[in-house]
Parts: sequence; C-alpha cells; structure tokens
Amino acid sequence: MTDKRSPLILAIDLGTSSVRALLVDLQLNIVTQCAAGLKLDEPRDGWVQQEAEPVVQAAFAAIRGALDRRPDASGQVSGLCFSNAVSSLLPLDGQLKPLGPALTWADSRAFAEAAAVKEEHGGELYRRTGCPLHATYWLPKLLWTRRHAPELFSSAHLWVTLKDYVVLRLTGSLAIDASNAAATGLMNLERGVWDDLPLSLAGISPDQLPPIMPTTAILPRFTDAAAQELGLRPDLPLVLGAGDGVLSTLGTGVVRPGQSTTMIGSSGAARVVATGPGGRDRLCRTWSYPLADGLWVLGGAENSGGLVVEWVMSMIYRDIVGAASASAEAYAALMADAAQAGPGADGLLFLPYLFGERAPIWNEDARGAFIGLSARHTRAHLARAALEGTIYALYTVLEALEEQAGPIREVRVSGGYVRSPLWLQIQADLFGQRLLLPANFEGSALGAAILGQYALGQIDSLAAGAARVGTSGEIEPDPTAARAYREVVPLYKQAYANLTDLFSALRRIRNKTRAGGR
Amino acid sequence: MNRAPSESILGVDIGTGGCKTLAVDSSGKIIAEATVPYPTMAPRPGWAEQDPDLVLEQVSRSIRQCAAELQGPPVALCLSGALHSFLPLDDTGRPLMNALTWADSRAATQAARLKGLPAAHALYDRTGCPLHPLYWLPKALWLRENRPDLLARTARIVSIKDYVVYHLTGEWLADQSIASGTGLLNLETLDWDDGALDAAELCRELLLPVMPITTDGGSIQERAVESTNLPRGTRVVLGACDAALSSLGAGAVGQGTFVAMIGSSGAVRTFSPRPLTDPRERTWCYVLDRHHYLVGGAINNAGLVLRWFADKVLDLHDPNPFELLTREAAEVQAGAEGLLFLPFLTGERSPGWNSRARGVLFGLSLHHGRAHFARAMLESVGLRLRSVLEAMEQVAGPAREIRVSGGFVNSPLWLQIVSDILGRSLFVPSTPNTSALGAALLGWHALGELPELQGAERLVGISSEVAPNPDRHDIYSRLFGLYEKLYRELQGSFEEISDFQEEFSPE
Repeated sequence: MTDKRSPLILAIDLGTSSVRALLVDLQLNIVTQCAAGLKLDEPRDGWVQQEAEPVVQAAFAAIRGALDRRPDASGQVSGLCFSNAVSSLLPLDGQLKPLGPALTWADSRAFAEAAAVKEEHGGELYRRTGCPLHATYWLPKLLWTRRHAPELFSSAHLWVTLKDYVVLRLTGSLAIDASNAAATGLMNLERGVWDDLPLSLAGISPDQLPPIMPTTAILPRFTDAAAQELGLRPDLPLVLGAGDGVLSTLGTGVVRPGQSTTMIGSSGAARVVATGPGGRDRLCRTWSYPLADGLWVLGGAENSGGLVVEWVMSMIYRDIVGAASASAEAYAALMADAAQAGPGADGLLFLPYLFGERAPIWNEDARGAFIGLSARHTRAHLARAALEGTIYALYTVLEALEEQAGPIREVRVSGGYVRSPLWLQIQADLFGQRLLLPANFEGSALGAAILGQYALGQIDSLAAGAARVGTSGEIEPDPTAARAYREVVPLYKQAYANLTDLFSALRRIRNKTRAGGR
Repeated sequence: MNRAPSESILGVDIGTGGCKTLAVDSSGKIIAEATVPYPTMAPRPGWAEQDPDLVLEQVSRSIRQCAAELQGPPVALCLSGALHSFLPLDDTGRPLMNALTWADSRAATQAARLKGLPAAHALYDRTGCPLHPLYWLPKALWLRENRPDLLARTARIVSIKDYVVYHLTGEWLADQSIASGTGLLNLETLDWDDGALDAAELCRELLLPVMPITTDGGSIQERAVESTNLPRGTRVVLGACDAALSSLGAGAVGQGTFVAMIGSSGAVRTFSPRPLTDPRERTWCYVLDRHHYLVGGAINNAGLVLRWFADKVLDLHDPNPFELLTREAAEVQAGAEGLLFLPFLTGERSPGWNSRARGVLFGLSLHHGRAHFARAMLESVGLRLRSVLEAMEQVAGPAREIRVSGGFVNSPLWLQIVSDILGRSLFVPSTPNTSALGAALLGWHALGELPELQGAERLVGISSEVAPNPDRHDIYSRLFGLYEKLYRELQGSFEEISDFQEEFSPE
C-alpha cells in the first residue's frame, strides 16, 4: 500500500531505447510511471549513435507524464535521482550545444583504436581506471573521433555523457557523478579525479570534462525554464545518481560484500559489491564503478544471453518459428525440449560466443561452437546446450569477480530469463548455488530511488533501502544435476582453451573467404 | 561367344539401406532395375542391426521385380554384399540374433583392448584390417564376453550375403572378398588367419570355406524358385563385396584410378596389384582376386550427417531432405562464411580410427542460418575425403583419375564442392548403381564373356566431368588447414566428452 504521507522520489532511468520516469515511495512501491521511446541510429555496421535533443525531450516528456498521471501526489515529490546507460560520448561546443550525435555504449566503431591502446597501455590503464580496454569506453572513442572527424574533435569544447547533458538542461549546472565518470574509463580509481594518462593519450585536457561529484551530490535548483516546463518547484533537489549497472545492483537488494546479482536479457552481466575499488585483476577482465560510502560495484558484461538463445531457436525451430508471430510458441517448444534433455545435454557443449565476447575473455574473434555432437543428439540437446552455454558464460564472469571480491554467498537474478524456470534451474545447478528472485524487477529505477532517499536523508543507509527490496522466491540447486555440471564446467574450459588460437585463425579465413565466389 | 542381345545377368547388390538389382547385358548395358529398401535398427546407442530374414525377403523381392521386366530369364545372378556384417547361426542355420552391420560399435572396448596388444600391427599387416569395432575380431570377443549363451549355441558365423546365398542355392560358401573384410583373413594365403582366429578366440569350424569370387555358388534351388520367380537351376556366381564391385562398376580398375564414394558413409578406394598396408594403419586392404587388392579409407559420417540434421535437429519430416538442404546450401559461398563442421557423429574411421571423436560446429556467428549449416555439412564430408585421399596417395601412389559413386553423384553442388576441395576433376560414371553393375560385370567375367576384369573400364561410360574452380580450391585449402588443426586441438576434449557421455547418458 502506498503511504499517502511518504515522500516520493522521481527516479529517472535514461536507457538506450527509452527514458522512464517512476514515482517511488519510501517502501519502494511504484506509485506511477511513464516511458518515452528513444531512437537509435545505426548508419553503419557497428555504429550505434543517438541525437541528444530527442533524449532531452523524451526525459521531459516522461517526467511530465508521470506527474500528470498522479497530480494528487505531486506535493509528495521530494527529489529526483538519475540512473542511466553509461559511457555515451557527446561533444559540446563553446555555447554548450551538441556538435553531433552521442556515441552510445553499444557503438563499436573504435574497436581498432581499443585494440591498439590495449596492446601498448592496457595493463597500466586498467590499474589506473579499473576499466578493461574496449570500444565502449571514451579513450578509444576519442581516438577514433580525432582520427576520423578531426574538425569535430578540435572544435569540441566539452565532452559529456547524455545524462550530463540532460542534467545540464534541467539545472544549468555541469557535473558528472563518480560512477559515470568511472564508466568513461578516464577516471583515476584511487583519487576520484580525471587521470592524466588516458587524457594525454586522447589529447584532451581535464577542463574539457565535467567536474566529478559524488553520486549523492545534490544540485539545488532547476532552471526557471525547466521548472516551468515540467511543473516542478525550482528548488526541488536533484540527486546526480549513478550508472544503471551500479543502481540495478542496489535495486535488486545487493549492497553488501558476498552478495551478487546476475542478469540475462539480450546480453548478460554479473555484479558484486566490494568495499574498495577493483583495477587489481591481473587479467583485466572486469570493471569497477563507485556507488557511495566507499562501496564499489564490480561487474562484467557479456554478450551471450537471450539473443543467442533466440538465434538457436530461429535456426532449429524454423518449422515453428515460420512467421514471426509464432515465436512465443517456438520459445515454449525450445524450453519444453530442453527440459527433456539431461544436465550436460548428453555431452554436448555450446560455446555461446556468436558475436565475440566481452567479460571475462574479451575476445572479439571468439565465435559459437557446438562440440560433442553425436548421432543420438536431437534438437532437444541443442536447445539444452544453448541454455547451458549462456549460463556457463555467466558463471565465468562471476568466477572472475569472486577472485577479486571474495566468496559469493548470495545470487540474485534479474532480466528476461527469470521468466524461464528451467533456465534459472540450470543456473542454480551449474553454479551449485541457491538463487533469490527479487520481489520487484525494476532494478535500476529502484536503485535510483534508494540512492535518492539516502542522499536526501530519508533513510539512514543504503543497506536500509536495499533491505526493502525483498525477495519473491528461491531456487535450490538439484544435487544430482549439480554433480553433472561439476564435470561439465571443466569440459567447457578445456574446449575454449583449446580453441582460442583457432578463433584468430578463423577470423583470417573469414576475411579471405569474403573475397571468394559461389 | 556372342550372346543374344536380350540375354542378361542380374547384378544383385545387398547394401546397407536396401537391395538394388540390375539386369545387364554382356556389353554392360542396363536393361532393367529394381530397388527394395530395408531398415537398420538401433536398439541402443552405438548398436546397428538388421533382421536377416527381412533382408532375405527383400532381396528376393528385388530379384523378382527386376526379372519380371525381362523378356527371358537371366543367364545367371551375381551377388554384391555389404562388408562387415556379422551374423551368428545355430546348427540348423537359424539366426541366433540380428545381424550386426558395419555401423555397429558395441565392440569398442574390445577393439581398444586389442589395439594395445603387441601383435596388433602384425595382425593389421596380415589381414589389412585395423583394429576397429566394425570388424569381426572385436565383435566375436564382444559375443564371448556379453552373450556366452549365444556363443555356446553358435555353429556358424556368416555375413548377410552368405546367408542369402545359402537360401538361394543351399550352399554355405564365403567369397574371399567379403571374408577379407572380417579382419580374420590372411591376405597372402587368402584363408582364415590362425593368429587372428586365436585373437578372436574363434575356432576355424565356425567359419565358412573361403572361395574365389567367380566361384559357382550353385544354382537356384526349389525353395527359392517361388520367392525369386527365377527358373530352378539358374546359376549363382558367388560375387564379392560392394566396395570392390563399386570400383569395378565405376570402371576404376586400372592402377592410379581412384573412386571417391559418398553415400550414407564415404570412402576413397583404388586397386593395387598386390596387398598394400600402411605403416601408420590409416588405410585398409581387402582382396578381390589374386590380381586386385582394394585399398581404401572409409569415413563413417557422410550423407548420414544431413539425414541426422534434417530428421533429428530440424524435424523436417521430409523423406528426401537432401534436395531442400542442398538448394539452400547453394546460396552460400564456399567456406560457409567461416562456419566449419567436423562430422564425427558416429566417431571416426580413416584415417585416424578414433571411435571417440565427436561432431563439432565451429565458428557460429549471428549471421549464419540453416543454409550455412547445410553448406558446412556438405563441405565437411569433402574435407574428410581430402584427409583420406592424402593418406591413400601416400600408401598407394598418386591418383591419376578420380571417379565417383554413391548418392552424392545426384547432387551437382556436392560434386562441385568435393571437386573444389580436392582440387581434382571428378568423373561421373553413367550409372550411379556401380556395385550392382560391378556384380553383373563380374558375373559375365565368371561366365567367360569378359576375359579380363580390366575390360570393365571400356564398358563403363562416363557421363560427365566436374572440374575444380581454382579460387574456391584456394579457399578450401586454407579451410582444410584450419579443419585439421581443429580436429587435433579437440582430441583431448573428445576423450573427456565421450567419457562424460558414457557416465551421464541414459542408455
């Protein structure tokens, strides 16, 4: 039940495909919400960009929409707090106007620059910034821009994220929260300031970047124009907030060391909480972004999630998929078949790296493989192996995190895969660990609400907020299946280790055969 | 001796999937034909059995149907039989169990044990057969260790073709060609090898007398008259194994002429004038006659890969999925855009003889579709044949000419892929039914009409030549290097995975 007197936080989730505004009360009930869609431009292979103005307009529309739906609650709104998709890069001119579209986190045009910098400075940069070198981060993106759009690069007065730009338009103030600053790959982890090594490599100066502030920092005033347009008090506090990876961790109730969260949507991720920054992983596999109060979120994102399973489905269930409308039926068939095959899919392995892999192997050349096919295998085994392969990929991320942050005692799950009991059971069995289902799957928005409540003094600690997330169910590992998976996991590791060099050889052949004929 | 044009011999090919009968005149012309299928049963993983009485009934039906199209009765029959079938009979000649086919790998443990014996290589050198579960030697040990009750009642062990001959003529005779595919025949003496019999723990009395392939196997006796509709007294020439007769029927008799066969399984074969074995045991050698020894390498997984994909993975319910899959595969470029398949769904025979090898689809990417799978599967068989051909040329000398046989001759795309992978021209004989044609030609030879088997070369026409494309050959050569490396790198995984499959898979 919503408390009529409870202060409400307006949580703004700036995602890649939509902006959502949610009114959340102290008990983390969602009073109302409103979403506004966003367009992504993909003009070329690997380019994923977004114009800034539509993002601002969508944010305004979502906020207005949420407030309009509950005019009765407007008096209770106590502040705003942001969650956002990290690592977008937007150039601004001297008048603070965008010079072009923002390159989103998903933009991979700078892959060559990333590889080149990694080769030369990878280890040192990782120790300083805690970010593995990848095209998603700012240094490769800046290098790409300098090389391919030199005029834009030299005329850029400031470089910001899309969230910084929305905040700028709301308040007239320029600021980046420490979590987002870390997720640019340019921040020094230990000192919380822009690091001179990546900046000098990129060829920019610290005054071209926004000042770094805590995630709990409060900007005290809206511009009059924004306040008027949104129908908000100009002195309503705006809490800077943090990146969506960090806040969805908090929003699933994970706030203490030993707790972890795993997610599978289109892709997948695993995150843990630590009491200090990362950046110490010898293999440079995972990122670490600050939350608040000396807590850090360590995480790794991987590519091998729902998209991979959908691809397998479209491949082997084409009789059912046929028309796109039947895909729910095909999905159900895949799950039903997969449930028929035993743990380990009768010795069929599936490496799910259909489009290269990020954490923990960071191998762009990696590709998918079914290994161990025998004449008795059917589509049921292929379906099962596909699910198991995605869980194996997730497991390797958590394993890398565990090496840095200590043993994992609790796993909370989120993302589309929580709708599949089989998929979750495979995870519980393969991890050999109980899974907790959060009571509410609005992870990043709830995280923003908790952070906002804490910043505004409505709760005493982040842990107090996280405790209110609650759980709705548990999944226990099956001992027999877990025993089988203890044998399967080393088989996966061995297969990948044996194939690592071959993936590079395969890339050279792919390049060559593209020139070939029918 | 000039025969009247209507006179014919029936070449009866008792294959794995069915019986093909051709009526062929003395000039090699095919006058009539009939095909009748029969099933293989797989009651447990790795087992492959056939009901000998059902096979017998279907063989008779095939003969009857073919003969019905002739103006007059055939001069004779000559039989071709699948290699390696293993059938224990009691003292009344009744089967004690179903016949185990070449695809049956239940004796894998026994084969592995035998392979470790100090005498293993000498056994291979004498018999031409590597120690592999498809041969009789390990199968006999399996019988001893698992069904001693049946072994105790066994009076004879025969091949399915021997069983058919007996029911046609009343004679118990083994031809030396099929006999040498048991792994128990000495290639020099052309009789059962004492050392091999010792290793198999079999006494000689359980085996049939070994006869040359042109031996008069007797004539159609009263009880076969009704089932075959042939006149009593029609002569039956003993015949040989389908592999050797397929080479004969493809006109590939001369030195340096190779046959590349792709059916359900696949093989590369050539004749040598003397027994030929490989220090590395990659190839086998079976006798046809004193002047013709068939040297070859066989692969387990060829057409059956597409069949598996269509039936088990895609659930197509299509009696002939090859047409659909090859049509789709034709839309994809050579190299399947970086998708590579290792086809070891039923383990591997030549050249590595690793029954624990397993299938691999490697290089999967989001832009791959079903068509890429199909293309990669077609290509995988070609890549396997290249491995076998390379071993074969080291053992038997260079291939001057490569002729083709088996179901893939009906697929222009598959022929082109194999030609491109091998980088060689392929010559397509005028009939795809080379084993049955070879059997008929052997029949004419036995009757003195074809004085030399070499003469088959003149009688068998070539209907087309498929030439390799140099650009695609270049692509495939790069792919071949990767495919060999992939196989080597995964050896360890195959061991572990097959262990896991044995431990955790329900029987």
